[in-house]
Amino acid sequence: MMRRYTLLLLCAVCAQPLAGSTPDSATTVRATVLRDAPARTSSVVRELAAGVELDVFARERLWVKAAPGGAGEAAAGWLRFTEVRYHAPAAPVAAKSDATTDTGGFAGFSRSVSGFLRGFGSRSANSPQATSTIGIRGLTVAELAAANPDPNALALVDRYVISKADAEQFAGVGGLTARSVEDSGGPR
Amino acid sequence: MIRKSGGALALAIFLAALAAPAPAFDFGKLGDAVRKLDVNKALDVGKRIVASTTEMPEEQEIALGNDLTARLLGAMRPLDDAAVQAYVNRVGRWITLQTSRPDLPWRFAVVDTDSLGAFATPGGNVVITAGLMRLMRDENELAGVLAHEISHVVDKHHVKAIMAQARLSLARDMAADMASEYVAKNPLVTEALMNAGMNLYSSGLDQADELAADRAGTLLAASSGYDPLGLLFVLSTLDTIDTAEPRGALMFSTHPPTRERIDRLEQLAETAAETYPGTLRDTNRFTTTQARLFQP
Repeated sequence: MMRRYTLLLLCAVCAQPLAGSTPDSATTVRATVLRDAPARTSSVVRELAAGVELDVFARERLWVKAAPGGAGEAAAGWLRFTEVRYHAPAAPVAAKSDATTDTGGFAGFSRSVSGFLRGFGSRSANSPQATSTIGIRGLTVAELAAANPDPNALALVDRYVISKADAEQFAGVGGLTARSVEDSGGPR
Repeated sequence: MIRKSGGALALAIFLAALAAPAPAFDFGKLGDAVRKLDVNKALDVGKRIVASTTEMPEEQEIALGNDLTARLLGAMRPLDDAAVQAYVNRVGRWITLQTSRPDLPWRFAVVDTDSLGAFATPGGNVVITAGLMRLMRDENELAGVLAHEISHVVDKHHVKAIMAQARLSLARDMAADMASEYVAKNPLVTEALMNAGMNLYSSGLDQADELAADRAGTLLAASSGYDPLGLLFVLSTLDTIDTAEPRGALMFSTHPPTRERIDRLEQLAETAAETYPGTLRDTNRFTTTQARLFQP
């Protein structure tokens, strides 16, 4: 019982509500269950089949808080984030890219940027949050095959190569330390 | 005469067998070709080809990687932002220090395209697109992707694949033409290696190498102090993107299905995250740097 309260408390403290009032939409990728707290040991509150539409209300590391579409947050439980697939977000608007230079041969599209981009907490505040009409072009196999070597571009990026000492200082300032890590195994 | 043809035929088949996957072989054409070959010359050619494509000195690996990177940068121009380039180099270079190849001339580049992707070339080169960086949430995710690419370099996945493709290409050429002339024109088989290398970026590595790099990259990021969940979170983001979208076409066509990558990586990443939680304190530097990718 104590464990249950601890989990619920953790859940209340750590769970990151999604910005805005509209929950994100997602679908279960396999049959799974909703639990009453974000832990594998917590109680099952509902079984879900594969392909069930969900409203996602919050996320906490490996877990998302969700309810069947339209059921409301009161009906929500927790499931693994890897067990849901969010409905596709739009491509972000890229002012510094070739996004607007497409003149043909590639699909253009208009799509509302979904709550997905809002929903993951620490994403930059500069991320787009409005409806945009943009032409996105992707690099194609043909373009890659036809590319000519650009030694000037290689020389340009060489200007940014840094030393080991610089990298170590950068890591130290950020709180990173090297450590020995073992492979725990698991499915390959 | 019969023995000579048989010897050359055996050599050609041997060379073809070195390459995987095995090609459909045109024995009729092969027969015409080998009848023209001098068997001693052919054997000598064969030895040189095998020797030149079974081992690649580090110096040649670096030179090949430079050439391939220049080709990639010919298709995707570098982002004109020193702060972003320097930041990615710092994250990447720190991770390389935890590998078995810390002294390679590591170079990281951000390219100015909305396409989603990251590329490694032999010898210590990693290229990542601005489009992919825009989808990330924090430095742990960037580290996960860079560590995946770094693992390809450390484990020489591209070098091994290039070797295999070059052997295939050379074996075909030998069967179709006078092999001695071919080698005379290409004494270091550089052209064959370059072509094999660029083909890789269109066709993709062996899927097993990609899955292996997911695992190795996750552990490498953890050994650098990062959250082992970074790469898994990026894969989860990519899983939301329609595979028909042009920006993801190249990446999705050259990697295992994203859902499969997630399923195979999840247990390892979660266990690692429990044992080795990330220690990154500075979360602002990623946010500040990423914001530059959205500025007009």
